[in-house]
Amino acid sequence: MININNLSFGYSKKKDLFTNLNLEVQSGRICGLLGKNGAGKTSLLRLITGLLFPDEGEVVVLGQTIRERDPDIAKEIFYVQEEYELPSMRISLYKKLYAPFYENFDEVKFYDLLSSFEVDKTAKTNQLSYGQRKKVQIAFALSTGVRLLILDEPTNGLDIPSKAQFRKVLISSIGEDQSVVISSHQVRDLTNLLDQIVIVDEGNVVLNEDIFDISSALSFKQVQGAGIPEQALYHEMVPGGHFVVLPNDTDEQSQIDLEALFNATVTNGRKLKSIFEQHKTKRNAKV
Amino acid sequence: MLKFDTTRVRALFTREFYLGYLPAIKAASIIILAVFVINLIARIADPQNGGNDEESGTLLKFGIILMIGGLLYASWAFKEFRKVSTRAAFLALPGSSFEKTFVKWLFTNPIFILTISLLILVASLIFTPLIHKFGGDAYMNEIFLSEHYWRIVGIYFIVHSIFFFGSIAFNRVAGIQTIVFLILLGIVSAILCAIFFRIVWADMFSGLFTFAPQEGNFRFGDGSREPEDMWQVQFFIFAFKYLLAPALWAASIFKLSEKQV
Repeated sequence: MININNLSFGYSKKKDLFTNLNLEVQSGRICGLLGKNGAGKTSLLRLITGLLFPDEGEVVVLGQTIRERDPDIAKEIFYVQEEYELPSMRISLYKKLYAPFYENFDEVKFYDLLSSFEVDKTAKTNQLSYGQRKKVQIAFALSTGVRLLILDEPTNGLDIPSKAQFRKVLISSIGEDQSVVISSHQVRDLTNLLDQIVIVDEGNVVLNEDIFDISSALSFKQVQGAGIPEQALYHEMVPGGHFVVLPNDTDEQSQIDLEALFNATVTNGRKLKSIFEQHKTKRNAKV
Repeated sequence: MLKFDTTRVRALFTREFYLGYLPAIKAASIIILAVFVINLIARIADPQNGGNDEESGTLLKFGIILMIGGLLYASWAFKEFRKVSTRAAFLALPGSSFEKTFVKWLFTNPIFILTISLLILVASLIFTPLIHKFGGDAYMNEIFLSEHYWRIVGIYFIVHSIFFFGSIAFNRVAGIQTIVFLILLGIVSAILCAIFFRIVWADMFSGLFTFAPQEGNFRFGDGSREPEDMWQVQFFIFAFKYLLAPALWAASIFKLSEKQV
């Protein structure tokens, strides 16, 4: 679905944002793109959508170099931006103007999703709150039926019930042949949503792993008391003890804590990488 | 980049009609109405003023509104580029650069010319008999068949292409940036011409830029010919009249395909 090969990109010639970045996202997956503020998440999404051009390397989406901006590929991609003002008009007119660009657009689904999000379908976009406008965008994006959906901080501006609603709607709306790339710094919003996690830091992909591999290779748990296990990749104080990320020596899988995973990756990236390599070697040996 | 699909063009056309054309035409209609009302009020206040020159009066109104309104509209053609988010949304919209440029061109050029012509025609059909009731002159309106009308349209084609290209090249206040760019280009061209002139016709100068006294009439140009008879000058005029606009329209397509967020 997405192949990024040796991508280098920077806004200034002196400093690259990405250097020789490689990434692959397979079809039918929900991929979470995590990174610190300024790590380049939005820039990477814009490179994937062909809104920015790489200085070196190439970005191939749906089998074609995205830089060419082929409209037949563009109609299979929908990009929900973090900050986007919907044109001031009735929602029905917005649908009338933009739906024809996407041949698989499902009008019934669009209005159903608006109802799920409790947005008045007869309202004008300028009468809606920021969060409601975001919901209109998300509902529209999910109704386009595109093969690649790119969501940049989709939960920004959503209230707590809406975040849960968003997760529910996303999981139920995505078809098997569709892929989603979600960027977020509010990692808890993406819990139980992702199939794949990509973490970018200092211009490169420092983690690109399947959720199954992460939960098999790492153990996320709380330990009582003041003692922190020696092999802990990351730890943070919680009431009554510490929450730690450890290499998983057992066959048991634990619930992934995205925030802890992110912090473990950023602080202990190399060690984490070698753990995943060992885990994959073990798994392959078993097979 | 050069793909053309009628379904996509129809979608782009409908979108542009609502988001670009309707607001522009609403503004133009108000301005046209205001111009004719002011004309009528002026006639009521002074019935003898204004003469019998209705054709040139209407043409003048048409010319001013087409040029000023059209150039503002052409500069506003890619208004999506003003903000990063709207720029990204427009560039991500399924449609080739050719299709997107073509639809914007259609609205800011032939459709705008036609609309303004129609609005002026309707306004003059309504207001001219009223104006002449006070002025006492015969009604006449043949502006759309006149040679001047087509000359104005021709000039609009040329300047439109410059401002249209400017609206892709510059993200913010494209009209002003285009004018500033044209002024700078004019200054640079004038300097280059002055240097060229100083080098080629060195004999004519006694100081750096002081003319040496000449005996008899000195004619510029190739031999004794006037500059306008020189093929180079003729080609320049031809290129300006007939090649500049299509070249800039084509350049707009390429510029759009290279546009990034």
